[in-house]
Amino acid sequence: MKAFGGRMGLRPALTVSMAIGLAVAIVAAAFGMAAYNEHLGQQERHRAAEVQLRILAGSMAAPLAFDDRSAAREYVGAQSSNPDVEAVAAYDMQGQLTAAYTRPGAPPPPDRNTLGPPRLDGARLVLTSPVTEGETVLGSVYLRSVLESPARRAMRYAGFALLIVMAALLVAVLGAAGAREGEANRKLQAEIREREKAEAALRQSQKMEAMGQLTGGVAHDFNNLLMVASSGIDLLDRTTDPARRERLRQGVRQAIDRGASLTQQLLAFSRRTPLKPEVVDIATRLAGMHALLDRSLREDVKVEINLPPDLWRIEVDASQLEVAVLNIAINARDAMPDGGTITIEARNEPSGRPDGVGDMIRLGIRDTGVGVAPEMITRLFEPFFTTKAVGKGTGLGLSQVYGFARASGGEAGVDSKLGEGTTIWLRIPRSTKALASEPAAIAPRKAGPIGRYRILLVEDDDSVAQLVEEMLRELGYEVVRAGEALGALDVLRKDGAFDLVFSDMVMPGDIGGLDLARDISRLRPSLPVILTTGYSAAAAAATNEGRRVLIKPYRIEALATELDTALQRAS
Amino acid sequence: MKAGYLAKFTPFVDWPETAFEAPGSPFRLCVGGRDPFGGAIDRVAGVLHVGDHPVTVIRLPTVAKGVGCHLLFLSASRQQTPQQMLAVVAGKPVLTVADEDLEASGAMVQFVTVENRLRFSIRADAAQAAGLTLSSKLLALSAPPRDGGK
Repeated sequence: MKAFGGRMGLRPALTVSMAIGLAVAIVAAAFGMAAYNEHLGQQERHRAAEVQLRILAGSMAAPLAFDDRSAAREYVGAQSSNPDVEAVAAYDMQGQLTAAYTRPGAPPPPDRNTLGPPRLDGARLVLTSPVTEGETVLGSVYLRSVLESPARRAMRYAGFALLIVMAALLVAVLGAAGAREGEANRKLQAEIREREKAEAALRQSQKMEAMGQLTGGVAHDFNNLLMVASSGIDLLDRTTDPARRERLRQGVRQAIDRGASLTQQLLAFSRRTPLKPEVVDIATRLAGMHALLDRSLREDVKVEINLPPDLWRIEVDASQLEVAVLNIAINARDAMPDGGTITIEARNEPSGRPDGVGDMIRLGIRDTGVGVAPEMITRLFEPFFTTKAVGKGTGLGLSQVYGFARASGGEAGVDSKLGEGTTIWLRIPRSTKALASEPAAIAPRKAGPIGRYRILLVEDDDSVAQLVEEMLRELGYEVVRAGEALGALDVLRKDGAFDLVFSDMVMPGDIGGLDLARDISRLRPSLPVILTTGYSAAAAAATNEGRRVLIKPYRIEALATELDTALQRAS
Repeated sequence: MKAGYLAKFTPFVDWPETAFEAPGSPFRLCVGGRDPFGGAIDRVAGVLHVGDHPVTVIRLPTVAKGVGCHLLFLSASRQQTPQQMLAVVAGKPVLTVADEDLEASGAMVQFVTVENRLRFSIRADAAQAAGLTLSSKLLALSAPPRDGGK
């Protein structure tokens, strides 16, 4: 950073000196030009004086020849009309002064003329010339011309010089100012870069803090769920009462469902779950949720579902819709510590256009709770924003709602009054598509054709592998397990009698599930491969290649359907 | 003084080439009538050249044809009137210079005395008629003719 600053400091200094150099160059050039001009002017004046002298010499021939003094004086006097001429004289053949003119105050011309080349006498130019007619020398003339006096010359150049000096100063000052400005600009930019770095660092630390909060909250929630599942299974072993076993079993199932929905929320928040839009009838979905809602809420919270019979359909990810409703309901529950009513209502909001574009369905979930302070409303949908105590909420619930609404082409909002309750609403575009047929409920397949199909299971996690093996056997398949992709390829080479490969995607080793699937497609194109992962990015990559992916966690029914579909397609 | 003037007239006058027999032939300065100069004119002529031509002084008590004068000074004469002398050289490229106090209205140059100084008046038309060219510088010094320019 020091070297950096030093380098930066050098450039403006260079620029300042350049500006001054330029100014000096301007002055020098101007003075050079002035000197050259002066030289030219001098020559010009010399020539003019010589011409004048020659004319004088020519006109003086006759007057000198015939000693016509009046004519000589007249001609000499005529030279005075040139203000530069200080003294003029004409001399006869013997060199005697015949006629002279002297400007008042100037020294008179010499009594005898001495011919010679032009000479400078101080600021005066002295010229002499013989007077001839034909080849006859008739006399001589003398001309003394004042060259511009230094003072007068200085005066003449003063204005010009002043202008040049001003221009040079201007250049120097502007250049220096520009350089300083440039330096200041560079400093500013350096500062901006520093600040951006600091801000990036701050954002990173905020992110880390948020991650800490998130993982803390998620771990807490998960531990609770795991506690439920763990203790449920423990108790299952110790009781034989069928009614009690059933209650315990349901408790464990519920805990697992909530765990799955929690990870769904996390994924929705990270916007990595590909939405699987389907045409949904809100009334049917909400009716199906009633039990779930009752289970999630407390006994002092009453749920009312209030939907018009002609409600339009929407096209959304149905499970995300359910999660969103659940999230809002849980928020509402927590806003009503003393109990209350949650009202779920929906209505059509026509746009008024004949083609139906812009038609929306508004789904509102209203509670009778404490309400939200106005300054909090804008932050309600922010990820990790929570008013709940540490460990009580992740701050992801309403952020999932918002993300879902936006991803579905709609919007989400909050209306709230402190002490009167809150309404969180979603507006989702209407869908005019036909309702998808309700997927048939999958009956658990207890009696499968044992030994009919052989499946190669690739899974690195032993406990997961053990359970999945169990499920596959339960469904009536023969299972061989490989711990990683290369091992799976070995098994396939040695023993080709497999009907399907069911592989995890993210595994240790050089090749993952997707690479394995590609290799198998190359080696044995007819062998179907089903991939499974809980990691949504991997799932998206596989889906993009058109491969079948089963998202973890899955239930045995989903597994059965997926296997059936794949095997049927292969056969 | 007049002898000097006669010599000094020559640079201001152009004689046609045909006035000379050859490039190096002499310039004949004739003094018609009584010679007023004595040796002065010889001294002046001795150093004088008109172009390439050396100057020869010829004294003519009586001006007659065939002398081939280039410059004829008219002085008072008992044998001839100035008009008779002028008539001899009329039409020839001869610069005729009349002495002052001489009634020679046909002469190209006439010496006069103005304010006690020797001056001359010039009849440029006469010179032109004779085929001579007089320098404008000379004309500029011409004093007004005594006889009013006749």
